[in-house]
Amino acid sequence: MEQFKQLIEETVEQIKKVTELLYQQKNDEAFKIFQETLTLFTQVADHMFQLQWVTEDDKLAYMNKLREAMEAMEAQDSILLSDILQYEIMEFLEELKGKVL
Amino acid sequence: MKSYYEGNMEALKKKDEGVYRQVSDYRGENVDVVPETMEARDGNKILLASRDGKQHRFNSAYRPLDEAEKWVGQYDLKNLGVVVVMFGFGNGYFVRSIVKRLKNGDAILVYEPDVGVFKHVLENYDVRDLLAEGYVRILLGEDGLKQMHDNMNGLINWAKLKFLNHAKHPGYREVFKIDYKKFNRIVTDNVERHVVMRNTNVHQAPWLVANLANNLKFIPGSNIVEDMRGLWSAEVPAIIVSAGPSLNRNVEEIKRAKGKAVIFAADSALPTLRRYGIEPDVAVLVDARKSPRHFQNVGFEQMPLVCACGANKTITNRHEGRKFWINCHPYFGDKFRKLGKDLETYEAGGSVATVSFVVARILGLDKIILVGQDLAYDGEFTHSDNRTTHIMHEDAGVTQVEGIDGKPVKTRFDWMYYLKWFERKIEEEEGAITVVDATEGGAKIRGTVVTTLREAIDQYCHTPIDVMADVNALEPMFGTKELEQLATWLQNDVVDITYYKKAAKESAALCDRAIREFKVRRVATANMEQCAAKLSKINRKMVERDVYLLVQELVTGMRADLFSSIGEVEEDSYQYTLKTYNKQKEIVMAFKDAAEEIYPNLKVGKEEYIQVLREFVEG
Repeated sequence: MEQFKQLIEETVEQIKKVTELLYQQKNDEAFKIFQETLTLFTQVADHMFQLQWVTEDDKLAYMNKLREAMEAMEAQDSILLSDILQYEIMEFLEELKGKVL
Repeated sequence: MKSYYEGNMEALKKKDEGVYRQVSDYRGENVDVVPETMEARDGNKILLASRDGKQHRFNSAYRPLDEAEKWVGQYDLKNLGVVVVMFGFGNGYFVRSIVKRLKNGDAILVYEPDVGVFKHVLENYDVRDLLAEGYVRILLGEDGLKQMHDNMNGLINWAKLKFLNHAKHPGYREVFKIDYKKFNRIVTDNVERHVVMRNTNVHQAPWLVANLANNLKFIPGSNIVEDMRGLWSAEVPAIIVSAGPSLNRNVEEIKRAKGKAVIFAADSALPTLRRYGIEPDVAVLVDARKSPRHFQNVGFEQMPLVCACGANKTITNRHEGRKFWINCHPYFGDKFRKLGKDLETYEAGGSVATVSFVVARILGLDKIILVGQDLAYDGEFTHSDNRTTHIMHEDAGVTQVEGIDGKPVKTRFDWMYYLKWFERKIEEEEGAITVVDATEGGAKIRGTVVTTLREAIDQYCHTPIDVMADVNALEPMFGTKELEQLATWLQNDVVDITYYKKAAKESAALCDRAIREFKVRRVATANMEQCAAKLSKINRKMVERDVYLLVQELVTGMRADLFSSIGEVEEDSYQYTLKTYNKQKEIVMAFKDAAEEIYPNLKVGKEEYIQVLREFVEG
């Protein structure tokens, strides 16, 4: 559990770095860090799917948010990507961290 | 209750009549970009635009105000005298984020490429605060782009380059690609020009000041360039002869134009023209350190000379004909204005050819023929008569551009700069002038009509004129009364310049006192405030003297490093206070040193002026 909590904290920190750069239109720098963030997203997903106390709704919500983020990337909408990372994914992870016992 | 549009337009009318008219005249025909406003998730409005069937958002769809606050964090706005040049007004959220952080002495210049988008914003958002805000200057659409250069000139100088922030509204570059390219080019050109000016200033300051003092004696009997306005009709072309390597190919043709055009000669072209027996109508001299060899045995002594006030005294001393001042240094210009002579300052490009172009336009000539304007190498040659003149760091700036025949030619960074200058000027005056490139070689100058010199002369040179007679018939700009007043002012200047030594001694003592106190107390004390008040008084007295304009020129040249860091704010307030006092000391000592250097030149300059004045009055 502690490991999962730390993973979430690390992911949140990465999201903050990426979104700050994206909001400042420093896209090249942002995407370099974002590569590492994607790895962390996958690790979070792996953990979530192994934990029974995480509801199916939460798992689905998380995956949908990741999908929206990828769609924003494909559309090259860096501000939308930043919004989704900050207000959807990061807020979701903060809530999830709160539920970790 | 007023609509957003009514309230905004009322504020806009007070701020800028020109932009107000652009919006009120806008009819929305043949639009490429269709603006729209929607609501973000937090209820704030956001701006969107559609172009080529694709919708673009200019704000965060979630929390646009938070986005603006995060965005502005990348800009360093804490220093004094910050200037922000921004592409895209948007709905004002980002502009507002910047404005909130500006202080007295700061400014933001916002270029909005699309009048329709701006009008939509005025209809849907309350931006009266931004329109009323003194820090904000808005330029709009195609007209606004043409005004960018002048506006940037008014806001920045080379000392402030460090505090220039170049911002772009998120999403705008993607929608307005071409406009952004133009905007960016103007900003970059402007910055480059100020870097060149800084380097020139540093390089030339001591000579410039000595020349200014020397050239005072030429004021009696002289004119400003504007006095020639209207001497010749717009039918008469200007021929600007520069000393590019191609000049030797067609220089003899110029003989056919004599008496049917106003022939300007760049200084370095004079020897070539002389060799071919061609006498130009007007010589042009702007450099403080121009080599006098161009003016040896070229018969320019009686020719009208368009001349900068700080031009090389070795050459001005040799010249006996009528002098026409251009872009007067403030030391001269200030005195001329007080005597009722209204001057303008022109962004004249920095080369004799670009200055000649500006002069031709001042004179109202709208057909300009360029000769010898290669702006490129011809093999290894840089100038006519198979001359090669190298400049500092030349190799670092060599590049290729398109030639007049479409093939690449080799050029270097200073020529590139002049090439871009010509292209910009031609674009700004599109429709009002015809510029013919009759160089028959060299780089392609966009916007010019490329022909041979023979064809250009056949087509444009028909109206007979006598430049020398017309110029000699002009009254000098000042009569005896004005010149005697000027003599009094010069006497005062020679006395006033001795003040700087006294000021430096007093200021240094006050700064030392303040520093000692601050190091002990670590806070501002009443004693220190007294010192600051006295220092302010001394600074005011230094600045209010007319001769300050001369002293400052030399100081900013000798100590450019001091001036480019003025306004830098430190996080550590203790260090900042100490640094400020130490800098103040350095600055006044620099003024003292400069004043001491100028004094002997100014004294001689004044005495020579008075001697010439006596002869003028008696004559």
